[in-house]
Amino acid sequence: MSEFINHGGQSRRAFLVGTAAAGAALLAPAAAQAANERIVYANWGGSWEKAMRRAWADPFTKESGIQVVSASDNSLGRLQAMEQAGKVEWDLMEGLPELARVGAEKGLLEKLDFSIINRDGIMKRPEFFNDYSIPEVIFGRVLIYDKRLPQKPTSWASFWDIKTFPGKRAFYNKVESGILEAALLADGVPADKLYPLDVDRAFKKLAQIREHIIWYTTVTQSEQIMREGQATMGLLADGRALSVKSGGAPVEVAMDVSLLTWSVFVVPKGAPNKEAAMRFLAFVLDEHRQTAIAMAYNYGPVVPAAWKAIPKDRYNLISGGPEAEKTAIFLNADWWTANLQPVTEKFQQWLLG
Amino acid sequence: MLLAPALVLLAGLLVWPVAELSLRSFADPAGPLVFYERLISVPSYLQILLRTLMFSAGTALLCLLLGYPVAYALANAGPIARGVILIAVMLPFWTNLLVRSYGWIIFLSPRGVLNEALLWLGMIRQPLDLIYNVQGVLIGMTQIMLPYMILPLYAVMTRLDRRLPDAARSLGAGPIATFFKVYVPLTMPGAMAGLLLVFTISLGFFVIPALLGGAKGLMIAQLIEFNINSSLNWGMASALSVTLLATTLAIFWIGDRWFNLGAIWGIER
Amino acid sequence: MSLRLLARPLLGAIVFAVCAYLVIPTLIVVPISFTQTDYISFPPEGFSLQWYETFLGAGPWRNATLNSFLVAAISALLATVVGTSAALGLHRLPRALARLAIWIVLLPMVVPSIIMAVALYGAFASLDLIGTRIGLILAHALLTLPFVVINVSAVMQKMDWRMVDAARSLGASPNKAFWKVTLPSILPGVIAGLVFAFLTSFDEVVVALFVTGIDSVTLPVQMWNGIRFEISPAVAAASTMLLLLSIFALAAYGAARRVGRSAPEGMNA
Repeated sequence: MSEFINHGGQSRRAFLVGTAAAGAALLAPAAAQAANERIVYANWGGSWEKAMRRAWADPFTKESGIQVVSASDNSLGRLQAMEQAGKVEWDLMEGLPELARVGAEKGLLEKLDFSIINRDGIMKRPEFFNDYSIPEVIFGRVLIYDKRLPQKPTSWASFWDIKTFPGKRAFYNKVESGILEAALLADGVPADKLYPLDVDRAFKKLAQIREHIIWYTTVTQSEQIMREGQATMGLLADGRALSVKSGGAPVEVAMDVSLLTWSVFVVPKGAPNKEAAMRFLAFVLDEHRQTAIAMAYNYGPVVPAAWKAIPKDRYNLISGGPEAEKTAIFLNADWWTANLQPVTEKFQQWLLG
Repeated sequence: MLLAPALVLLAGLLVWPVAELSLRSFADPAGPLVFYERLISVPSYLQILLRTLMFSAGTALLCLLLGYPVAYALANAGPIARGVILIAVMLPFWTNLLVRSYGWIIFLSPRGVLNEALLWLGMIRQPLDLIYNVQGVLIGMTQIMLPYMILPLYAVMTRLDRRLPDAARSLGAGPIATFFKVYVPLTMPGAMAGLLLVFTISLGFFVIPALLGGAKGLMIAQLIEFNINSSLNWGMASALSVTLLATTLAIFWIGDRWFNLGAIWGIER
Repeated sequence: MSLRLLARPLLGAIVFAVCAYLVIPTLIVVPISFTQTDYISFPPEGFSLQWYETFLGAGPWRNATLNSFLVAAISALLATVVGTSAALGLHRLPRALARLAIWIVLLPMVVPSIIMAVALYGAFASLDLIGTRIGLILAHALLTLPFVVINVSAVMQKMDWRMVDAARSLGASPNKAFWKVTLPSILPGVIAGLVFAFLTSFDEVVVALFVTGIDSVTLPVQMWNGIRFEISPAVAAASTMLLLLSIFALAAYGAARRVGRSAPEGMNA
């Protein structure tokens, strides 16, 4: 750039033109620079991203030559904002089950190409099958607690018992993350009578411990809050909870106090490289890849055949396994899809009020 | 002619985009003021607006409280002490906002540096709640805005006519009386300029409340972001933006007229 | 007089405490960046340079840093050329008009960054500039323009314009008079403005959050993601590097000012 400064005799106009021209040369469109084929995968980040890379992305790149690039903030809002701005960058996105249905209703998703993706191996739960998504992994939302508490919490009711279990409680600030279910179970609603959720009753129950709640806004933050002892109990995704524990923090995970759910993969409408995204999805559903993720992150495989290669002693650590499924409660994605918007609005009002 | 490139840049990237944004706030088919009506009728919106005003006022007052002694020391210290204080004031001013926010996260967390130190010293038994709440926002914003208070105060204090306090002293006023009756009133213009500047800039803060505020520390800028990125309500985001912008510009205009705010940026009347 | 004796150490203690408050969050990142653990812990456990390897090795951190340098360099140059030209133009305007024009040129500094971000996001969406470097460069050129104008204007106010008149009367063309007389005498202000513009662009996060895409992520955006979504000590390593950059820029700016001896007193000191 020093050449501009040396051209002392130049007129000002030429100076400006020169700057602009040099600038333009440096500004070749970003897309043209990405020579290798790649997919952009919006995910939850943190310890999960590391495990996902080991179990899925790296082997996929090795096999296909397609790079997998991670993006943050895998929210529906962010996707919709991108679509509105006319610039969709993601090829692939993971999210909660509601994502597939709400996203499809709003016309934000591509239909998946099932001539590339083989769904035959997937666990035969009807809610796992639709045109716009495949299930990714099964995971639980579990109770994690500080080992220094005077007693061991045994149920969601312990969560509400500040006297016996002093300290803060960590909740995700997304209403569909099992908060209401935990509140109702703690309030004595039997597990088989949970749905349709009595939303008002749940908020009333939540209000009892309002002052003691720390809301985490990202899932990585949930790990930090428990690791640092900011809260003594939390409702966390089990993979995150186990990651905190294996990191050496003085916490314990009550795997039996758990709400089971699953995550899904979708492909945004207008994804720049949806073809490669479909290939990645096909790759991920392979039984060995499902075993690999279960071993790397303790999330349950959605392909039952994957359990064959998983050692028995890990069964009770991995979500949705033969052991855990007996006591666990599945979150009802149908109810949530139908009620997500009004309940979210109510939740936000409640947070501020 | 020489101004032309700047005006083109301003017209294309400031005037046009902001005008277009403003128009969207009146563009509801149900009527031009629908979004503004919602702004005052939905309790949570109003609450966040009020909270934004209160956080900004609190930051401004804290800055005055903490900044006044520092400015006084700067104006009255020897060259070495002045140099050291100036570096302490200017270094954070030149440091990335995210670096400082991250520093606060490390420092103020329940298991952060401060709490661990206090626990170790036996001064507290439970970690203090200093982050992800109102305290976190005020601590973070005050630290960032302090230079904006100290520098105008310092400028006024160095220009102050030293003879006036001296005269008051020679007329028999005690040191405390002289300080509060003569010195403080003489430095009021600097204090007012600083208060206005800090208050107004604080209104638009986004990064600090987002990183240090938690759910309780929400301010208007986050509400704008939320309406764009999560609830996709451009109309509402625009109405909030227009409200924030009008308030900001009005205060700057008043500040410039009555308190010569422009002098802070070296604009002479 | 005994009060005075008491007041001095008290003032000293307060000033020391406020200075510590200003500096602590900036410096605390340094020890954290050498931790062995892959989360933040204090005191840091062990000693390792792994986070600097993460930061400097091939990958998102290095890409973001290079991208930030590119964007900051080009936008600062652009702002310096446009801003210097504007400052010269402002100088020639009649006083009343100049005052208005100055405020217009300073608007990008006054408008809250969240509003600039949302407005530019909307405008860039219709121009198909989202996720491009050119969009971000233009936006940053606009945002840093006021700092150049302020710094150059400040030097011009103190400059001896008779020199230019003398050169002209000796037969120098307007162009020649500019390059041989005007530019050399305002150069300290121009360089100070350039440094300030570079650092402002390098640090800018709110507008960048909205208008960058996966291939134009800047270092502050990467840090934002790192803080919100990763909580990884790589942010501490990045922060330490940014701190060094700030110290370097502050020194360069101070040197430019000392040569100019006349850059504005006040917030940009």
